[in-house]
Amino acid sequence: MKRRIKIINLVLSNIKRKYSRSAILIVSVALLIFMFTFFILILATITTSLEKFSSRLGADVIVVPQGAGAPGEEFLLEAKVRQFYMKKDLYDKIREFEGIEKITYQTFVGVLDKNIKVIAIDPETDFIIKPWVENKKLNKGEVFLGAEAYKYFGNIKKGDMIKIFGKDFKVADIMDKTKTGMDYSVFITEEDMIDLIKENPNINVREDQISVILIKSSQEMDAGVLAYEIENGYPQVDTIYVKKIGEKVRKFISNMSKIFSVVLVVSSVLSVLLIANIFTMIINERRREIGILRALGASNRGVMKVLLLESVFLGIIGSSLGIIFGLILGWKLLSSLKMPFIEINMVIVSLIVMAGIAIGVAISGFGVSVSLIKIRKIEPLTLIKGE
Amino acid sequence: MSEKIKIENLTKIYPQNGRNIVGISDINLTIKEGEFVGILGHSGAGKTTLLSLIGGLIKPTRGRVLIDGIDIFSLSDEELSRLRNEKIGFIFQFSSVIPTLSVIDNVLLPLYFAKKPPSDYYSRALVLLEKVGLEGYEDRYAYQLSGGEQRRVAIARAFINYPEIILADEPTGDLDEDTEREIAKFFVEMQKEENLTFIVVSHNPEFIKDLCKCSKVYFMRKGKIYEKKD
Ligand SMILES: Nc1ncnc2c1ncn2[C@@H]1O[C@H](COP(=O)(O)OP(=O)(O)OP(=O)(O)O)[C@@H](O)[C@H]1O
Ligand SMILES: [Mg+2]
Repeated sequence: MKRRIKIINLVLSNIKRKYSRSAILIVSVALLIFMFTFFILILATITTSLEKFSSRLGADVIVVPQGAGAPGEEFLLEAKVRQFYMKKDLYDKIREFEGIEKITYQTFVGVLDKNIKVIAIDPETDFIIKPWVENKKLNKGEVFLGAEAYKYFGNIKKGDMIKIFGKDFKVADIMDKTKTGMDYSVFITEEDMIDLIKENPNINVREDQISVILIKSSQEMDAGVLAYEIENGYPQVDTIYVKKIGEKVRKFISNMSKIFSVVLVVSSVLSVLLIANIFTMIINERRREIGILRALGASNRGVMKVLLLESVFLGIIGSSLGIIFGLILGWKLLSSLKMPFIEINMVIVSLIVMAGIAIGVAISGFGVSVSLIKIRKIEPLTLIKGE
Repeated sequence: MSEKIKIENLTKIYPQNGRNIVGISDINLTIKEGEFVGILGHSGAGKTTLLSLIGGLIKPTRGRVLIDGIDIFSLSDEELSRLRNEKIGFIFQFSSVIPTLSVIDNVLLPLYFAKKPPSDYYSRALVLLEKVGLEGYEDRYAYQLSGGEQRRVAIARAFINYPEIILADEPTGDLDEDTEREIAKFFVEMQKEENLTFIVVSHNPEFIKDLCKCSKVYFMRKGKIYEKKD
């Protein structure tokens, strides 16, 4: 068997033999990259997901009863059940505002098990559900099922019959995933709601009540201005300007960003110091070895090549570990927020992976270069004698 | 025979806490190609200093070392490293194997940095190991060897790159008499077969004169060198 005399073999056997030294380096790089990955994943995912949310919703202004702004947002963003009502005649009045392109309303009817909401819509004006159901109009006696709500009914398909509050309904369509509160909803017509109210004493919504009014402003109208004007004109209502939605989440993010930048700065400084220290220790421990390599004909560049390759190799392993754990734990935390709108963005993930590896490699490469500069001027004999 | 190594007014002074310690002082010496030179001298005489200067492992305070007519201290780091790598085989007085590498990798170590390694490097490494009495040791790690065995790995390594010059500093310092004799035999054989310019340093006159049968013997004292004729 012929041994290959390639520098990389030298590097690998060094790494393998000095596993505790290699492990310390890998772990310290991994820790830094883990924090980086974890925080960036959470921050960037929530931010971009929120941006997408407004376009998914289809409406840019939402009107809710006064005081229901926050629960209204939760209703839309999260899979939570929130119940609030206002008079339906408000809808007829608000409809008259200038600058409205589309307007519809929805009414919260009740809740099935497991946070599945039943919501009544007005099929004539609806523009919110429509994009997710192949442009079908909902008829009396039919339901649209949200992408998550549908699972609640078990193994059913389009055209099957299901029972809601004791009444039979035909499944008109199963909606595509919207990553909003709609996924956890069952939609029926207003007419059916009125029937249900008559038949079922447990349903405590009245015929003349609605929960939300959803508006798409016209091109000439600024949605923010419209929201402001409606709220000013009708003290009984609050408006949610969808672009500004998720104030709670945004606050959480901005607080996180502050903590994050402090933590990241402190930990980077610490890890860089730690890594630089480890390298200096390693280099000192290896002075004799470096002296021998120099004496046997390795130039300063040759020595640098060996040590750089070694540290880059360890840096890649360390940052890969950091990235893997950062992504897993970050995703765990994001899913534990139970916000359907949160969506992993592969662009962000790939950027994190590339940046993480680059940072890990750069730090370990930097560490080894800095510690090598100190000894490259020392004569090989001195290094070998180990003074 | 051409001049292989020429040493001119070579001086090395080690500054030490404000005092100057003389390593070697004003040495002139010419060594011809294929010469087997022995250097004797007491501890602290400057033997290691002289050998290290010839191999460019330290820089002189004054003077020049010419190898094949080239002033080695005028070379760049790359060029000097290459010269060491291609022309010189070192055997150090100090432990010089890399413990984390296998025996064979230690022997092959200079070739990892060679521009073009000899094609028979693997068989040569095995032959050299056999000749220093380490047959079958190739896959053991250097840290698993005794001090004397490690020393013999370093001896084998000095010849791997088909060097033109061997600089051996106390090569048998920690070897028993039998092994010392074997190594001397190996040196004599290699020197003849490959026409090496060989400089061997020892404090033991018997090793230099009787075992290695050096063609020229020098004696060092307090940084000076004298030719020994008797
Ligand atoms: N790095 C150094 N700093 C200061 N003085 C040194 C240094 N290296 C060697 N010397 C001094 O230079 C002189 C020559 O040392 P050298 O190592 O060449 O001796 P040597 O003949 O090889 O001795 P030995 O047989 O003990 O190996 C000694 O007096 C030594 O103390
Ligand atoms: Mg010495």
